[in-house]
Amino acid sequence: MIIPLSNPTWGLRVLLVEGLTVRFGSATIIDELTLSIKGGSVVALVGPNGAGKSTFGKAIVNLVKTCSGRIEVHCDGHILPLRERPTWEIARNGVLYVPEENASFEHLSVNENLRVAFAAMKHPLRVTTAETEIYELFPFLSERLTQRAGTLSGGQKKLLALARAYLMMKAHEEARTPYRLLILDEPTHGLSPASIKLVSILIQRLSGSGVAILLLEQMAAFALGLADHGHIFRDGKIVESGSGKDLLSDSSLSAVYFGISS
Amino acid sequence: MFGEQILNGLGIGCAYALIAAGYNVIFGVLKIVNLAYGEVFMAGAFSALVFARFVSPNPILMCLASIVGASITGLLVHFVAVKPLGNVSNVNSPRHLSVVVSTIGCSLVLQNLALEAFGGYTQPFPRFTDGFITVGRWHIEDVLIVNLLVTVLVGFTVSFLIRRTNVGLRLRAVSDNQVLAQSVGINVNADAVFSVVLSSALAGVAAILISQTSGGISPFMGSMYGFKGLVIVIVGGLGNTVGGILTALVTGLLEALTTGYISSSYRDAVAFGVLVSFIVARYSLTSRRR
Repeated sequence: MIIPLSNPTWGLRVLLVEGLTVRFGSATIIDELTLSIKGGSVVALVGPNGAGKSTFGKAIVNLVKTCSGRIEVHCDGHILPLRERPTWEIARNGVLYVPEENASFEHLSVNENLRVAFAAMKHPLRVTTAETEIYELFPFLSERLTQRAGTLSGGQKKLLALARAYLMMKAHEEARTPYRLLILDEPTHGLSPASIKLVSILIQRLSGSGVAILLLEQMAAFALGLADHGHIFRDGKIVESGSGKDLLSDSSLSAVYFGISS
Repeated sequence: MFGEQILNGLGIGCAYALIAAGYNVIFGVLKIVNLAYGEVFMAGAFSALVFARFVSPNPILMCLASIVGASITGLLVHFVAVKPLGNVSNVNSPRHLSVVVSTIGCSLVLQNLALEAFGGYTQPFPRFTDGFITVGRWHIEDVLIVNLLVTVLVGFTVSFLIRRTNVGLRLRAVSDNQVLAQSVGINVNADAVFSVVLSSALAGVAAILISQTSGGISPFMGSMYGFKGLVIVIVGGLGNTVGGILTALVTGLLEALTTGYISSSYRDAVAFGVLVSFIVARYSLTSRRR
């Protein structure tokens, strides 16, 4: 693997979460969670419904209130604490959360959904090669550029959101944003096997360019198959960690959490 | 006679259309109905009057003074009565209703300040032109033509801003999905401030247009035209720009025809009777269908 010189975070820790706790009323959703992700690596957090995966993703970008703990992005000795920062500022600093549902702007056209990412960035950017890549991977997007996103199917909306995330990450690469982290919440939910294949290509390309990726997935086979490192998550806690392949072959855990027969 | 009344109606309808568009801009981004909006409009009219008395009676400068005065008032209302309440856009939150109360409060305070400063009587407002054009048998006042042209110009400018620029794209994204907008890096608070300025500026232009057709302004004009505008946007559909403009023009026409053929004292009663009947009919019919 060639390490691109423009990626100072390659192989170094990008995200550090330490002792993070999130409570809704008296219920503890995330319990003293500690986790770190390196640049260019894919980390999967897999677990059943209601384990708190989405809450964790939202907590990183400050879409839900956190109780205690540290959330930081690191680069070259610089540390940026995220906990008290507004969501939009976190996004502009290269930490992007793609929600599971309502991930595209329904009343905006497909083209506007893709462009809105650049409208929110400080500098005008040229990411024409990334756009070509997107249209090659998802040809339906280029055919429906002027169509409203609300008229797309559920799966197409999902792919549109992922395409936008890809463009934003490429734009951050071009702008040399020091921290680049992409958090994908259930990226395969509601997608056909063919589309899931495209999503994994997208993820591999991004991690290949140095982006740190956090997958929050129910579908363990997909996430752990892609991930360098996996965590099994239940009731707000990490119950087991290991390399993706090891966890996947751990048949007893798979059977308990995901109903995959060994 | 009929043709002239139609033009009169369109002239006043244009001003209503701008007020309705202003309500819609704020509603689109913040998801609230700002009940102090009428007072923002009134502040625009008085800013222009004060400017004309003490600085210059130049129409374009007076229009700018109205826009500036309305924008300052709009921002004041935003930072005093809307922003401190936190996230008001969630319809299920009690804050959503609190903002109704706080903006009514602002409206009363502003109206009373204007009463204190200018007195309760109607003040004459300088008319920019008194001429009229004769086309065949029709005598058309210049003011009406200016109103129509200004509204079309402002309408196209705002539409260009919303549809073709980055800030417009961001505003539409915020209007569509506020949480997602933040997640892609849009500073929702900053764009909300921009939307407040934009809607106040529309109120400022509308204030000039209305004071040209009515010839006088008073501290009570804010609540009168504010409520008219509110009825118009609700009939046209909150957030529905085209519906708002059409309803505004229809309201103007109804008012002009009532003034021309019945009596000016029935003007508001007839126009709003029709609008309210329309709402009642529309919803009672749709509920029967279910």
